[in-house]
Amino acid sequence: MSRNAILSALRAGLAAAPLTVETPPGRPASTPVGPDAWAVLAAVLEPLEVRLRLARTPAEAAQHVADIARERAAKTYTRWDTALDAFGLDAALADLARLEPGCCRNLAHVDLGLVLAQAAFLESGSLAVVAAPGRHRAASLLPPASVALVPKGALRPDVSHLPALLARHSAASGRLPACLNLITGPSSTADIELVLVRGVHGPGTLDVIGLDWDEE
Amino acid sequence: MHANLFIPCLVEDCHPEAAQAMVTVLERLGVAVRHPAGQTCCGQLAYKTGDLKNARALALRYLDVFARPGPVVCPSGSCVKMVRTYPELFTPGTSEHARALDLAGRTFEFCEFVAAQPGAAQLGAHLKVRACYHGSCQMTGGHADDAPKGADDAPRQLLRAVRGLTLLEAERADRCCGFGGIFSLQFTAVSEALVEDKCREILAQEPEILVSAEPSCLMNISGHLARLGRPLPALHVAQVLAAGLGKAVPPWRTRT
Amino acid sequence: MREMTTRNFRRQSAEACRDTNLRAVLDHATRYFQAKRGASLEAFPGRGEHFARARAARLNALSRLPDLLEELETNASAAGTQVHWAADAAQARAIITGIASAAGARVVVKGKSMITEEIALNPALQAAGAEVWETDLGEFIVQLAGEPPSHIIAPAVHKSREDVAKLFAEKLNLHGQSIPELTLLARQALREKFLAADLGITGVNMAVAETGSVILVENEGNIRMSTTCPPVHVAVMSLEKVVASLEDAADILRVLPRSATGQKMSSYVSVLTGPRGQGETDGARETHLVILDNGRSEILADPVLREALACFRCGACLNVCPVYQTIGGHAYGWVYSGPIGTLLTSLLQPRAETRDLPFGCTLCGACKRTCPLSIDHPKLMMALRQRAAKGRTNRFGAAHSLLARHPLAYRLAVGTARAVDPNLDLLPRLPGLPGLSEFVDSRHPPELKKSFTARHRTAKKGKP
Repeated sequence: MSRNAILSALRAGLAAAPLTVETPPGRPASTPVGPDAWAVLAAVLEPLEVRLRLARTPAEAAQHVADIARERAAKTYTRWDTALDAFGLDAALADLARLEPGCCRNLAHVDLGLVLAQAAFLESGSLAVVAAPGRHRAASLLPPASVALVPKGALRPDVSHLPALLARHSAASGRLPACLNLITGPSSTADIELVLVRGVHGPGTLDVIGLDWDEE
Repeated sequence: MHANLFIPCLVEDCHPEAAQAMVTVLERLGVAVRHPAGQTCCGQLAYKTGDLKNARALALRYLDVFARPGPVVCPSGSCVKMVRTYPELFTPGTSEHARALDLAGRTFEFCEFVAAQPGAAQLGAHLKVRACYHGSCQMTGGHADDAPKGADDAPRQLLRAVRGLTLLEAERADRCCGFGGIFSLQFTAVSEALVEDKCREILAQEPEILVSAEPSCLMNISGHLARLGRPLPALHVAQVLAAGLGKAVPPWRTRT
Repeated sequence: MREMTTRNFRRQSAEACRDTNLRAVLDHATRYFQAKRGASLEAFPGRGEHFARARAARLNALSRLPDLLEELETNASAAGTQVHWAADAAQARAIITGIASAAGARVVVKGKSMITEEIALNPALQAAGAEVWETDLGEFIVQLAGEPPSHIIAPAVHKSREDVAKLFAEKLNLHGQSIPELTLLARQALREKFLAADLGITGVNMAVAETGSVILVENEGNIRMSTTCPPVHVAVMSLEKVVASLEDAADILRVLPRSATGQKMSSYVSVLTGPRGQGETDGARETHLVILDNGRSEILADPVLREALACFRCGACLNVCPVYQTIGGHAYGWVYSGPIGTLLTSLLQPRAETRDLPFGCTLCGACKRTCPLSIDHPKLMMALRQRAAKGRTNRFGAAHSLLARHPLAYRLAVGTARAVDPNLDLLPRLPGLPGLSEFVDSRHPPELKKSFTARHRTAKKGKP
């Protein structure tokens, strides 16, 4: 059976010539999240053409969402549910039609997608979104305009914090969530003549709203 | 101190002036030279064709040729690299391996040797010339455009210390010139494309001379420049230093 | 386009040199990638340590490969993924077409995957009655054109916008001119396919043994689409892609995007563990992982050559290689090109096909210098040359060595040549010395001069 033959071959190869690995240097210390964290995030998002708006209250956040929806001329939207219920988004987006998730076909033509980030890595400007019931993957993928709300408490230095993040969202058994997406800017390609184009298969625009208040 | 001269086959018969200049510079630094007899080839060509048997045989010869203690100095980075590879050709624990380690440990490329001598900074060479430098990949490990820039390598250091010399750099000064030994015979079109690129970048600097620390690169590049009808004197770093130390106008300065 | 093969590497490389359009494209593309990468690495504090950690993560995985693969299987299975083992390309194709049949798959979408090219998967799926759509824009373009990819990061870099416009018009009846227009057309065309697809097939950037997860890295979003919309996802991995832990994976993610494209992080990194969770509305309901050997276990046994398995496919060595910069990817005749491609192809394909590959290298070392994992390509190249030389001797080298072992004969030969043909007008033109004639076509040969030994002896005689 292939499995056993393959494993035997690998074991025989390593037995004949063991591979010793040098201990690497320690990981350079991460730049800690400081009082200027939002400014750091804004600066790293800027070259990605991602704008960061700050909100001091949920109502302000909802207002920003309404502004973005208008800027993007959105007629329809989809959003994560319970995570975003507290923001009064449906009222702020009353002029738009909200589409329920379901299979991807349901959302094929939706204009705007709203998610809550579970983490944001300041070094790279990456937003982590973890799938769960009511937190569909498609919300940050199918619509051409994507909006992510980032709680202050979700700010982290860099991707070295990914394992801890996944552990926090794992089941008691240790099983990881089915999907974590790390999103850094809009969808892009330079496959034709190395000319950068945003919005190939994923969103062409990404807006970030920083929730600048402390959670209990 | 004494140094043993290690003269690459190409230099011995096609570019002896480079070796003569090397002697001049070494003696000026107070290093007396010995020239061990019986030198033919260090085995680089055999090694690069994958012929370990002949590479080993030629390495063994050179362990004898350079048996006498003392530093061994060579005007070719690629040949020095070959000698530093000698230990890999012998089984650890054997006397050949020990001798190979010894020889590898005391063999130096000319520029690295000179730059490390006390008095190198006070050589006092003067030469008013526009010299375009080509960096041999054999010493630096190729031109990786995105590799962080380090300190000047030994050839550049020596050239910068020559008063009156304008050191020009080809756009991709450390990019391979395309010779690669047997590569130039088996992949002639690619080799030619690379030397074309190199010549174009050198000529764009409008130099008076081409300078390098690698004789095979000099042969490759100057050979193509000649075919292009744009010949340049192609000098080893040693020749530039020696010319800068002497009073006489060097032969390559007088155009026929 | 005449089909390129590895065996014809020498001829294909010479032909590529004559293709002026290709030369211009390659010059532009390789400089572009080098500039972006260089800027990114210069601004990366602790770069050396990060590189060393990434190297250790890869080598650690190789040193524990069989145990990690078993751990991967256990954890992936516990998460609900069906794990399959394939000894070779034929088995892998059979497994994947089997999954496709069982799923009744008529429309298949694929993310960019070298391993699926290596096993020639697409024709097998098509033969089984499925429509297969490459969804990475560059791969989509070369698929429509019927060509292999020419660069590991930018598969269609050899095509101009006019080429692409013509292609879309001819093959899809879609019309656009500018690059954004063409990109939008591709988005629209492929979105239909994503939504209709029964099966999504991707490669894997890393498979994490500790958690049974696969990690997929991309910029376009086509991999997310391929793993979010269709009901079935098959991830194909060559067995060396496993890493021990999420920590190791994070160390690699810290380095890979910077080395590949000069980005701090790629647009999308997906960490997928099993099928969609209960109550979720998207993501595959059925997930498969195919673990493929196809020659890797043999390579792992070689203490020198196994280092090639550490590669995490950043493509940096391609962009700095003077040979690749000149000839591009197609000339190598297979899916892997450039320095690492030469090594992998030589190790994965039959020896008779790959003898010339390791000689298509000047041993300049730019690859080794640039590789974030410090893979010693030149050393491996030499090991392959030694392997090739066992079968055949290079006559020129052997003749030179014979003379060099006998100094008197050597000096006699040189002396004779100098007497007879000091300007080397005739000797290089003699038959039986392959390549020398072409060499002197483009280089004026050196002169055979009075030897250094003779000059030095004279000089010493003149001294007190």
